[in-house]
Amino acid sequence: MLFNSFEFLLFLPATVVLYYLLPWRLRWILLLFASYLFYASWDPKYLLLILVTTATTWYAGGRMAALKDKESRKPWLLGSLFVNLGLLIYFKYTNFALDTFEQISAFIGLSVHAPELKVFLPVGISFYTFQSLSYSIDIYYGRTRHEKHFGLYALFVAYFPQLVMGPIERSNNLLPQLKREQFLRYEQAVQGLCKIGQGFFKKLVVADRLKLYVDEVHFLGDSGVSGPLAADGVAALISAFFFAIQMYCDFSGYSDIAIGTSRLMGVELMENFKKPFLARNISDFWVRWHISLTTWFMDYVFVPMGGYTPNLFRTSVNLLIVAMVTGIWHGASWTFIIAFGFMGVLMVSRVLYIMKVEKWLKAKNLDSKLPSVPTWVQILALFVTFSLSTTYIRANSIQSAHILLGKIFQPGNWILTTQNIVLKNGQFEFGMCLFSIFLLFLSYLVPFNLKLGRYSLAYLMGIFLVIYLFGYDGSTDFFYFQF
Amino acid sequence: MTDPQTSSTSNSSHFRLLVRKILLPLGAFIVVVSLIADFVFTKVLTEYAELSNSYKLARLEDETRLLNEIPIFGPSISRNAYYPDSLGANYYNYSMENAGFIINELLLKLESDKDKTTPIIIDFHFRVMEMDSQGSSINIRTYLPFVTKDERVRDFLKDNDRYRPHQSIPGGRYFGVYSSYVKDYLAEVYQPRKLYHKGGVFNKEAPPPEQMARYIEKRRKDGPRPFTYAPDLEARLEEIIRANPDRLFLFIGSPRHFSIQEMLPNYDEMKGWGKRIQERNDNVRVILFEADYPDRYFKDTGHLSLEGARRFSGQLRRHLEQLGLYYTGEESAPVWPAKPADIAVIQLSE
Repeated sequence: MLFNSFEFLLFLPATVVLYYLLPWRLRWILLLFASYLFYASWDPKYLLLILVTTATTWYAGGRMAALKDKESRKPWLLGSLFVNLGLLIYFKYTNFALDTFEQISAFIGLSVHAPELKVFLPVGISFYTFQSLSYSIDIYYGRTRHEKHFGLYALFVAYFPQLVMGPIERSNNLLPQLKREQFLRYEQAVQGLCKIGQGFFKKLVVADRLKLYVDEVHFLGDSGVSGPLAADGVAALISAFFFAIQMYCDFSGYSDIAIGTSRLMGVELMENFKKPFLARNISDFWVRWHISLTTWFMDYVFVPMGGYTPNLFRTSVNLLIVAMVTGIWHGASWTFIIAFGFMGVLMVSRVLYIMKVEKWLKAKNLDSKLPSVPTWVQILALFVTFSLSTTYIRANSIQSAHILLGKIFQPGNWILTTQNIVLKNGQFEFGMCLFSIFLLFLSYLVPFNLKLGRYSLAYLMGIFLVIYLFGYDGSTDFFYFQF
Repeated sequence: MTDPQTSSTSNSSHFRLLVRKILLPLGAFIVVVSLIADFVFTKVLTEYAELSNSYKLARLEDETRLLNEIPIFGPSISRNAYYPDSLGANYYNYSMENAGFIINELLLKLESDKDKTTPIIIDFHFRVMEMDSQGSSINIRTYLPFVTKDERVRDFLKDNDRYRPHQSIPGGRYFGVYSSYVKDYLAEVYQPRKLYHKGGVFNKEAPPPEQMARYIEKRRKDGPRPFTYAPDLEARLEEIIRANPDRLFLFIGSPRHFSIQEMLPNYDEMKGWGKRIQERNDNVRVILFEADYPDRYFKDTGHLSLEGARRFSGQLRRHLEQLGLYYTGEESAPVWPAKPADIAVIQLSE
């Protein structure tokens, strides 16, 4: 059941009304039932997997909570990690591993034909696996308490607003809210509605519109009419910009709807995006983009590896490893690993600048003499760099990404005709793409917390009007579903 | 512990406030705006926006008017090929882009439900018997204005898995496609390079030779596109033909660019299919035109230009007259000559 589906328009109000009608002691049953129904709408057999994850992490958590020292807890943590990461790896990475094995074998001259297994990828497996693993790890470190109520814990894993695409919540934030009686608060509910409206705006008005252009440039099965081979350098560049914005609006739109939906039930989820395209450098960007995943990797991978250390080499290795793992988390493909690896290199460059160049400039008393780079230049430079790297994320193969990037970096071959810029969908659709970006820019002017007071109704009416008139279709999957 | 009395009071007072200050006014706004937009769009689309396919569908659905009209059905090939005024005052081009068998079948059903005796022209091209000629035949916005009022259209969408419940909600059906309609409208208003005329769309200029050379190269690169048909589709077509013995079904093969012709490996099979369907049905005539047209008669390798369409439509009219199959729309009960033994294959030149 997609958020942008007719079914969800019925499902959400029914769930919220029932939620407040029920005595609070029974509400967890309703939410758990609704969450499983929501998840089973893709495929009921997925439920089995989520139950396995829930049961194993809860049981391991209970056993760890009963033990005093970390050493004796370790086998339970490893067991939990083994089962759940094992499931994730099996369902998400088996074919990728087999394919890579075949390619490496061919590279060293061996002819090995690895079979392609028919493994289905359960929706949201990366998200709920990470959420439940954070619970196991937090209990291991003694950072959270074990939830003795299995039903409430199952609800924590499967809570429908954030089940399939996050935000990846921590038990310390979500579980207490699910246990506490929640009241309908006018201000909170209005903010929730505004947040949902904002999410639908990002998805239906911006992301789905830009997708049309991006899909044409990345069209699979290139016959020379559209697709990477047919694209001109300028179209490839525009497509890179559009895709970066599409990906942001698609994913943050989903997060907004999730946060707003949850807010209607009095439960506050963490913010997942904080205007990332206003970031001035790559570190700033990752503080604003997919915050729940970034902090997850920071807390459970980067910091345990040593995090930022005075040793530049060690810090760089840590950053690169986290970047690669983040890439692999996103998708079982080398294109993701390259894209995120590149971002890792940018992070390392920044650390290098701060730890060495900046220090050297200060030591030489040159830092005050150099002209400062205007903020808008920093923002623009980061946006361009990020957009170019996302070409790998969207590309159907490494070759496709190389073709497009090759065209972008050969401006001598750019043929700036209207047709080459607007592509097959024509000037009107291209104009609509630019208009939707303009609307997105306008939406940045609205206060981030959406505390609009007496203007809330006007905001909701305005956003409805914009979505109703300029929204595109309504049945497109969210891009991050594949992760 | 929370006092149940307090919590229930708090919930209901905040709920009442939410309903009064937000949900009711917002709901009223949504209903009013969507109903007005729905009404205006339906009116404009079905009565004024002559370029849109919805207008064509509305025109075709009208059972009380245009009883002497001769409709032309087909995909963009025929939308660019038949210039109605060169054929006669009562001809109208109902062709729609990407229209494969399923679209033509719907249009034929709507047309044949009327109490008419005029002939029906169907463009006979190599994709005419393909279920979904380009994999995207059904452009949903064509059919949205009719979902609630025409069962045939609703069933058509249901049969082809394109029906969604919100399409039956007044005000909700156009969601997500408003801008597409505006795009069509703007295309009609600003048409410097195209001429829209009685359902047909015609490019005023042919492409320069180098552009045409690229089109030809691309066509060759795409490889052969044979004529295909499925027996079950043939049966569905013949069911419509046989249910309308008073209507003459004219299958006209409009001129093809030589690069299309050379990529049609089973042209004889296509002719054989035409012959078979003519033999089996007294009210079917098949006429194939093989044209030695210059490149300026084409807008690309697949479609005629305005000059080509006018030339072909004039030639078609003359040949129909010679064959005794021309109908002005004025005669009350047309009488057709006896069915020939074979299909007609006619050579056209510049």
